[in-house]
Amino acid sequence: MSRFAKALFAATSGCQFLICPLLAHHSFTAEYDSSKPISISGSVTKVEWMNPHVFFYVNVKGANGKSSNFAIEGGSPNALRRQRWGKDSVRVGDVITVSGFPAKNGSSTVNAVTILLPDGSSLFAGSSYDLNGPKKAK
Amino acid sequence: MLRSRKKIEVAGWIIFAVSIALLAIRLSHYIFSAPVAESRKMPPPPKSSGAWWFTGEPAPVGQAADLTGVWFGDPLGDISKATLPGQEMILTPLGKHRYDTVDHSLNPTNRCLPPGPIRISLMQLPMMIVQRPDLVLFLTEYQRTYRIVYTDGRMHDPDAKDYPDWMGSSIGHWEKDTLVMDTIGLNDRSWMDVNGHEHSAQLHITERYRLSEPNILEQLATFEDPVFFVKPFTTRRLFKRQIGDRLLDDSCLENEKDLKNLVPTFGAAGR
Repeated sequence: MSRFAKALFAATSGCQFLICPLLAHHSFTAEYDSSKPISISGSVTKVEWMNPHVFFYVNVKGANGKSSNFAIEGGSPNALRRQRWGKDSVRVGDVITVSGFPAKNGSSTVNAVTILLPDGSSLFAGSSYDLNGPKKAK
Repeated sequence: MLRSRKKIEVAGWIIFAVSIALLAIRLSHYIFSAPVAESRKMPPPPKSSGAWWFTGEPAPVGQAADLTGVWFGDPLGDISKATLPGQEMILTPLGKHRYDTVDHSLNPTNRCLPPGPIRISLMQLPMMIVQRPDLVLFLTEYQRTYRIVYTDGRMHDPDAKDYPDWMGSSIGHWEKDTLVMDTIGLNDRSWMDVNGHEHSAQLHITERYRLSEPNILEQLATFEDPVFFVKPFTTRRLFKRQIGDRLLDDSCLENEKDLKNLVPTFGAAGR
């Protein structure tokens, strides 16, 4: 895991109760590329507030002007609820900015570390980005 | 006649002035206050004390400590980082080879298989302990899994090792204020942590749980597995009682979308 990736994580997360970005049901590194942190913005088209991970779908306009629909993976809904984020925190039509890591297989999937919401707050997505050590109990 | 017309005129001016004042007050709200964005956070949950039946009272002298409640420990990805001094994990040549070459895309929980009794306690979801004189239940939120620890004096089932399973066979007893648990009969398919520490079906776990403080649960766990570890090693972890919290729903398969994206990733490259 690159130092740059760790620095991005440290700068954007501030690991909170139960929202530490690790230990999801799947291995982060087998799915996402921690050496290529990215940031994308777009309009939310769909919200899936479900186990084992919440998913947000976002239309992102590319350099050629065409839009692509990205799947944004967050943490578990339970962990987010304990941080007082709920199923209405991100809504269809919201323009959000996502910082995270792209899927290794080239699909339009991003593991979110933070999501900047329209109200200016930053939803720490509780991603499965794997980093041993940071933790904070309630 | 003229006097009453004058009164009507004055009343009209008064109504007009009041209306203007009310309008000004209303407009001032928009003029002088900055727009407030709607918060997307939920309101704080209502305050509560205790986890249902837990009263916070210490157990009477001579009786088992009351471990009931919802507990959460710091998430941990590498169990070897929780070892006590002098109790470090030392891998056998086979254990080292397996750790160095483990494929993280084959992590059993990628496929929503059970996590095993130790990894479940390293995760970012809590567990609830239910205590009876004849058994102790560990109800774990992740995948709605559980461990049943019989404390009625029975031994392990004679076929526990012949039919190993994901969470193993656990029996326990109380040594004063400490719950001592013995677990065998584990299959060799679970990982001990997300970093990919594996084990064999010979894994034998001894756990000791006690309240190091009224709301802090201490877990000492000793692992013996001559196939993967040169010698037994012991870890220490702490769990904090989540006053007022409860277990929530969890289903790994409900909206599983990661499996199709996984690519083989070996050893250190996956940590």
